[in-house]
Amino acid sequence: MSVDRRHRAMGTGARRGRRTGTATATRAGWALALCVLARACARGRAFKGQDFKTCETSSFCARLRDGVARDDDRNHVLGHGVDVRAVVRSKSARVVELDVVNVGAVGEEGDARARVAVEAFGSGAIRVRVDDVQKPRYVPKDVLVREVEFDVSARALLAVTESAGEVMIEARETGARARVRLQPFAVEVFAPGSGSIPSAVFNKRGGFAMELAREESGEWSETFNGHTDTRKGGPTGVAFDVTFPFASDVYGIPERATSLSLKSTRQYESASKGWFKGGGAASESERNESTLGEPYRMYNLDVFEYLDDSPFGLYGSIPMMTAHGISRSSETITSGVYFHNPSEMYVDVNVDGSNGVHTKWMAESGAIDVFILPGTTPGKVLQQYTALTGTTSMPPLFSLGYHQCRWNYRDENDVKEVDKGFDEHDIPYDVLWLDIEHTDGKRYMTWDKAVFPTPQRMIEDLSSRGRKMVTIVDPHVKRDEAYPIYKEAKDKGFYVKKNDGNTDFDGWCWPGSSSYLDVTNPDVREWWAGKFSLNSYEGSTKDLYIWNDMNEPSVFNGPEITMQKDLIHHGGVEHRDVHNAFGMYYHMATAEGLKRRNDGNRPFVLSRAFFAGTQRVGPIWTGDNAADWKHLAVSLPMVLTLGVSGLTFSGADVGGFFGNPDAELMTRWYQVGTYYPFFRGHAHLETKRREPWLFGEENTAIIRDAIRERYALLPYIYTLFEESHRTGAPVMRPLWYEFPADADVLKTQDAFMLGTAMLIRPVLEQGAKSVSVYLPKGIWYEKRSGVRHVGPKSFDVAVSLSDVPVFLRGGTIFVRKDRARRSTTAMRGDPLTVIVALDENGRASGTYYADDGESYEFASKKSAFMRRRLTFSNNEFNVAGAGAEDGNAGDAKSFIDHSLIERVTVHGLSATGDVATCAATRDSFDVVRVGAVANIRRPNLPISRDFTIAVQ
Amino acid sequence: MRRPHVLALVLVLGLTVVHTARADARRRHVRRGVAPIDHHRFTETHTTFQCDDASTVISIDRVNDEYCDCVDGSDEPGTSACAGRGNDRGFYCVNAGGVATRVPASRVDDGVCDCCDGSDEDGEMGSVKCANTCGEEARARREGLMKTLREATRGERRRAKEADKARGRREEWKRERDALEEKIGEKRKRVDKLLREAEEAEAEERKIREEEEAKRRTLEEMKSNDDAPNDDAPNDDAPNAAATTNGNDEGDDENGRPTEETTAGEDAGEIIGETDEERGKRIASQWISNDDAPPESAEETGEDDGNDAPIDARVDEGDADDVVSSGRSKLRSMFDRARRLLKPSRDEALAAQASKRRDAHDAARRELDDMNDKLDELRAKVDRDYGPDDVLISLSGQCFEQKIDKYTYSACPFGEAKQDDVRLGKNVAVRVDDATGSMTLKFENGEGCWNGPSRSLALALECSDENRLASIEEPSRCEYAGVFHTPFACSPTMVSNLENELAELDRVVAAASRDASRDEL
Repeated sequence: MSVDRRHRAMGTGARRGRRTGTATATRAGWALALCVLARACARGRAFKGQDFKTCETSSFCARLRDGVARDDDRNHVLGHGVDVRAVVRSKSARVVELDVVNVGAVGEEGDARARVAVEAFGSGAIRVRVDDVQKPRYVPKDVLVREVEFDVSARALLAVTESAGEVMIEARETGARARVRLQPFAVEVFAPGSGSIPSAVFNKRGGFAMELAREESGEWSETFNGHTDTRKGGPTGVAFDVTFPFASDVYGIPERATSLSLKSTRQYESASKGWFKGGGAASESERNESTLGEPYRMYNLDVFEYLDDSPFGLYGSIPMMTAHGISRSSETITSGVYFHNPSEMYVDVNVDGSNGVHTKWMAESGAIDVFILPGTTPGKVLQQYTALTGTTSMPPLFSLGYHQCRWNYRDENDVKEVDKGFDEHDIPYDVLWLDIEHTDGKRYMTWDKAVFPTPQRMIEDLSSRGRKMVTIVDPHVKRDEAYPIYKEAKDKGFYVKKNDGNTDFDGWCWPGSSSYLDVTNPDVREWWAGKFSLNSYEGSTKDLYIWNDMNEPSVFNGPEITMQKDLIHHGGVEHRDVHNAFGMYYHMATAEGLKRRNDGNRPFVLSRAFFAGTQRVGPIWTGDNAADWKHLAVSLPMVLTLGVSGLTFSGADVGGFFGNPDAELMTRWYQVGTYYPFFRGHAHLETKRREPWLFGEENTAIIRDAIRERYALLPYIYTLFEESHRTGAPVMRPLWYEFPADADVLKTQDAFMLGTAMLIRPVLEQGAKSVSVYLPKGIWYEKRSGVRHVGPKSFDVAVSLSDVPVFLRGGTIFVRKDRARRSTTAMRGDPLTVIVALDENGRASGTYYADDGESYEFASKKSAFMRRRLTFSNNEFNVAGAGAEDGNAGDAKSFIDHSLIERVTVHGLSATGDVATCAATRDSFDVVRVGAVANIRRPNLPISRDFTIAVQ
Repeated sequence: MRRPHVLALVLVLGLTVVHTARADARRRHVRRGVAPIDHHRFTETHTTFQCDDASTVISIDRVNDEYCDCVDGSDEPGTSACAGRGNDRGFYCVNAGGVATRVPASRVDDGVCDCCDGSDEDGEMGSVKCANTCGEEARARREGLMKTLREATRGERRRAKEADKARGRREEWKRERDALEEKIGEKRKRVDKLLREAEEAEAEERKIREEEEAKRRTLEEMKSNDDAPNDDAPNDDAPNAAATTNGNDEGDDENGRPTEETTAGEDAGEIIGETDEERGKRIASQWISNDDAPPESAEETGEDDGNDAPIDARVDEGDADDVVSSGRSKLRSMFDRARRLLKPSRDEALAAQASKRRDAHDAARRELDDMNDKLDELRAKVDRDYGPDDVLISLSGQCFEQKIDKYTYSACPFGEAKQDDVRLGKNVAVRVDDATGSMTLKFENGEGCWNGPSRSLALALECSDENRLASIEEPSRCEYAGVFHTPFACSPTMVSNLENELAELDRVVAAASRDASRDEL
C-alpha cells in the first residue's frame, strides 16, 4: 500500500539558475503532516504531477539535456557543448587508462580533466569508467557481484593496439572489441565475430558532460515545492550518449507504466544538426505524437495512483537498456548498456530510422560508469548483464504459488476465515499476507494484540496445511523510545542523518514521526538481519516471510515523497549519490535475516523499490496500480520490461490495488496473473472484499481454473526460474526475445511467451468476444483444442469469459502437474504430465528441473538437483540426464525426484497406433486420443529414469 | 446411506472365508472413496465401469488406478488423479465411529489429514499416518448439537409465548393511529381558533400603540434634538432577512482563515469597518436608548451578540438557549416576553392580554406538533416490515448493546445501529433468504465514510434463547456485518430438524461402534 492521502497545493520552485535559490516557505509540509495524521483530507483520484519534478524542474537535467556550459566554467566542466579528447595514460593486461580534456584546452595541469578506464569482462561486457581526478566520485557498493566489484581476475585479458587517433582493445577470452577514438573521445564496442558495425557506440554524438568538483564554496541550493536541497558540493552532473547503430527498438530502464518498446522522447530533423550537442530546447514540433517530449526518469519514488501510460519513473530503477534491430540481410543484433550509477537520472531516446537509436543519459551525480553489453542475442545481453549484477536467486518453491493479500486482514479470525474460504472453494493458495494494520501502531515486528493475540498459533495453524504467512516490515521506524527497535538503532547511531551529519533525520510515514535505518551501512544491515531471528521477532515462526514496502524510501513530507538529497548516509555520503539503491540495501538486509533464521535456506522477501541487482535478493511488484482495464493491460509491458532488465521475479497486484474491479476485470486479471512470475492478489483498505470466491459462481469457477492452471504449470515455471538463475533469461518473455528476427513482434506487448514453449495472448479488453492473435514462424497448437496452426499467421480467436488463448510452440516439451491441489506442499508427490508439441519434422525437446525447493544445496558441491532432458523424434519419447549445454544433470546421490510420469500428451503425432512400448521395461501403454491430441496413458515410469517409449 | 454400508460389511464377513486377502485389498481399492450407496457400481467382479456421464466405458481395473480416464472424473473416486477435472463429487470418508463426509479429490493423499478417520491419506500415494479422530469429533459435534438444540428449544418456547403477545400488535398500533388522527383533527381546529384570537388581540394592541406612537412622534419632532439613526418603523411580521445573516461572531471561516467582514444587511444601517462586536453593541444600544419597540429584525441579532450586551443580560439564559433549538413560535413568545421586559409601556394591559392569547395558542400548537410526531412514528411502525408473519414485531422499540473487541456496538433492530457514537445506519428492511428462510436486518445510510460509501450493517438473525448482539465485523470498509441471536429466529421446524440431526448422529455413531466391535471379532 502506499500513501493514500496526499493533499498538497503549491507551485514548483526549482531553480534552474545557479548560485541562487532561497527557501520558498510553503505550508505544504504541515498540511501534509496534518493530512496524514487526520486521514481526512480531500483528494482527487489522480496522479499528482505537481508533486513531482520533471527534467525542466531538475536543474541538472535542464542543464545537461540542452544547455552548453558557460565559457567561464570551462575549468569545471568537461564536454557539455564542446568535444572532449582522450590521451592514453597507461595500458595493462587488464585495463587501459586515459585522460579526457576539453578540445581546445591549453593542455596544462590545471585543465579540467577526468580519468577514463576501459576494461573488459569474461562475460563479454566492455566497461568505460570516467571519474573526477580531483575528487573521485561515489562508488556504489554491493550492487555489482563480488567478483566484478573486487576481483581483478574477473577482468578479461586484453590485447591492446594503438594506432593513429585510436586504441583497439580486444578481450582475449571473449573476442569482444572496443575501439577507443581519441578525438573526439568515443568508444565503439563490437561483439565477438561481428563485422565493422559496432553493437554500440559511447559518445558518438558528443553528449559527454562531466561537472567537476569545485574548490571554491558557494551557494548552490535548489528548491522544489518548499524543500531546499543545499547541494553543498555544487553541480556534479554527468551525461553521455550511446548510439545503437543497427537498432530499431530499445527496451528496459524500468520502472514506468509505458510501452515495452520505448518511444522516442525527442526527434530531430537530421543527425547533422548537432544531436545532443546543445542544440537548444526541443521545439514544439518535436513534441508531436511520436515523441514524449519528456525524457525517461529513473528516481525511485512512491508515486500515488500512477498513470497507465507515462515516462515517469516509479518505485524502482534499473539503468539497463537493451537495443535490438534486424539488418537488411535479416541478421539480428541485440546489445545493451548498463549505467552503474544509483543517483537520479534521465534518459532521452531518439529512434532515428536507419541511423539506429540514439540515447542520452544524464545523472545528477556519481561517475560515468558504463558497461556496454555487445550481445548479440537477447539471451547473451542478459547473460552479460547478469554476470555483472547477478542472476535471479532461486526462489523457494512455495513463493511461485498464489499469494492472497489485502490491506488488511483484520484479525486472527479473519485470517482463519479467508484460509478456510480457499479450502471450501477448493482454490489453491500458498501464502496469506498481513499489511501494516497487524502491527502495534505501525511498529514493525510487533502485533496489535487486540486483534492478533496469538500470532504464533495462527501461523502454525496455516503451516499445518502446508501454507505460509507474510507480514509487512517497512524501513521507517517509529520514533518512540519505548519501541526497542527504535531505541536500539538510535543508540547505535544507525539512522540516516540530517544534512548537518549529526542529527537523526525525522520524516513522516505510516507511524507518524519516523527515523530511517541507514541500510547503506553494512553494519546496519548486519544488525537488521539479526532482528528476524525467532527470538527477536515475537510471534514469528520459520513459516513467516516478509514484505518490504515504502523502501524507495517513502517519506510523506519529503520532496517528491522521499528523502531530501542532502541527507547524510554512512561515510558522509549524500543521499543523492545512493538514492536508487537504498531500497535494495534494505531488501538485502531483510532477505539475509530470513536466510539466517531459516538455517541458510532460501528467503522470500517482496520489495517495492529496486535497483540493478535486486534480482539476487527477491521479487518485486509493480506497486499501487488500479482496478482498471488499462492498468491490467500495462502490467504486461511492465513485467516484461523488468524481465529483460534482469529482474524476472515480478508481478502486478491482481485486481488492481485501488478501486473495485467488477467480476469481469477480476476474472481477466486472474487469467493474466496465472503467468506473472509473481502472482498475488491485493487490495486497498477502502475497497470491497475481493477474495476469489466473491464474484459469483461462474467467475469463481473461472478464477479457480486460472489459479489451478498456475499450479499445474509450476514444474515448468520452476524449471524456467532455474534457467533464469543460471543464465539470466526471463521467465515471462516478450515475443521479440524468442523471435528476434520477426519484425512484426518487436513492439508486441499484448502477448508474451512463458519460456520458450507457450505463447499467451490474454484477454485485456472489456467485453471482448474475440482477440487478434499473431503467431510467429513455426508450428503452433491451440492449447484448448489442439488445433494446429502454421505461423507466421494473424487471425482472430473467439473467446468466452473462461478462455485464455494459449498456444504451444512446436518443437518444445515441458512438464506439468495436472492434479488440482491446495498448495505447493500438497503437490510434492504428484505425478507428472509431459506436454510434447512437435515441430514440422515431428521433433521436440525440453528440460525438467527439480530440487528440494528450499535450500541452496543445488548450488553446493553436492549438486543436489536433477535435470532431465526430454526429447521426442521419430515417434519416440526419450528421457535422459541433461548434458552440460543444459546446465548438467545434477548428482543423483544428492537428490532424486522420484515423480512418476502419469501421462505424455503429444500434439502433432504422426504415428497412428494405439499402443506405445518401452523396450527397457517391456511394458506397453495405451495411446488415448482426444481429437488430434494423443496421450500415452500412465507409463508410470519415474522421470529420474532413462528410458524410451515408442509409439507404434 | 448407512444401511448398505452395514450390509456390505455383513457381506464381507460372509465371504471372507472364500476370498483371499488379496481380493479383499482389491475390493477396498476399487471402492476407495466411494459412498456405500454407489458400491454396486464399484465392484471388482464387474468387468467394466461406465463413467457417470455415460460417455465412456472402461475396464474395471482402470477404476482408482491413479489415472483419470473419464472426462467427468468419475473413475477415480478414491485417488486424486481426476482432481480438478470434471465434476468433483469428492472423496467419501467413511469416518468409522463418526459421521461420513466428503472431501474434494484434491485432498486425497496430499499429506494433510482431512477425513477424521484418515482414509483420505491411506492410499498408495499417501505419505502421512493419520490418527482416527472421528469418535472425538462426533462427541464434540454431539455436544455442540445438544447445546444448540437446548437453546433453540428454549428460544422457540419464548418465541411462541411472545408471538401470542405480539399477535394483534400491529392492529393495536393501527387503532392507536386512527384515534390519534382523529384527536389531531380536533386539536388542529382548536389551534386555529386560538390563533385567530391571538391575532385579534395583537391587532388591537398594535392599533393603540400606533396611535400613541404617532402622538409621541409629534412631540419629539417638536423637540427635534436627537438624530436617532435608523428609526424607521419596521414591518412587524416579516423578519429582517439581512439581519439573520449577521450572526457569525466566530471570526473564522471553516478553513481557519480570519473572515473578511461579515456582510451584515445593508438595510441594517451597517457602518463599514466595524467589528462584529462593535456592530452587536451598536445594535443593542439602539434598542436600549430607544423607548419604542425595537425592530423585529433584532430578535436574532440579539441572541447572537456579545454576552455583555445589556439586552441579553436581561433575557433569561434558558430562553436564549431555547431559541437556538426550537421553532418559530417559541422564538416569538420569547421575543414577546423580552419586549415586555424591555418596554414597560402605557399599553401594558393590552399587550399582556395579546401575549397571553399568543401563549395559549403556542402551547396548543406545541401539543399538536408533538401529536403529529407521534403519529409519524406510529405510521412508520404500522407500515414497517417485521418479517414473515410479523415474527420480529416484539423487537420493535428494543435496543441491544454489546462490547465487541475495541468497540461498544448498539443496535435497535427496528431503529438505529451504532459503533460507539458512529451511526451505522437505520433499519430499512428484513431480508429473508428464499432457500433457508433465514433473516437479515439491513441497516443503511449510516455516517458517510470519508471518500467512501455511507456505513451500512447487515445483521443476520440466529436462533437462540435470548436476544443478544453476538458479533459485528467490518469485512469491507464501512460495510459491517454481524450476527444477532434471538428467539425470534427460532421455529418449530428448526427444533425438529435439530432433533432429527441429533438422533441421526446418535444412530450413526451407535451403528459405527457396533461395526467396530464386529470388526474386532
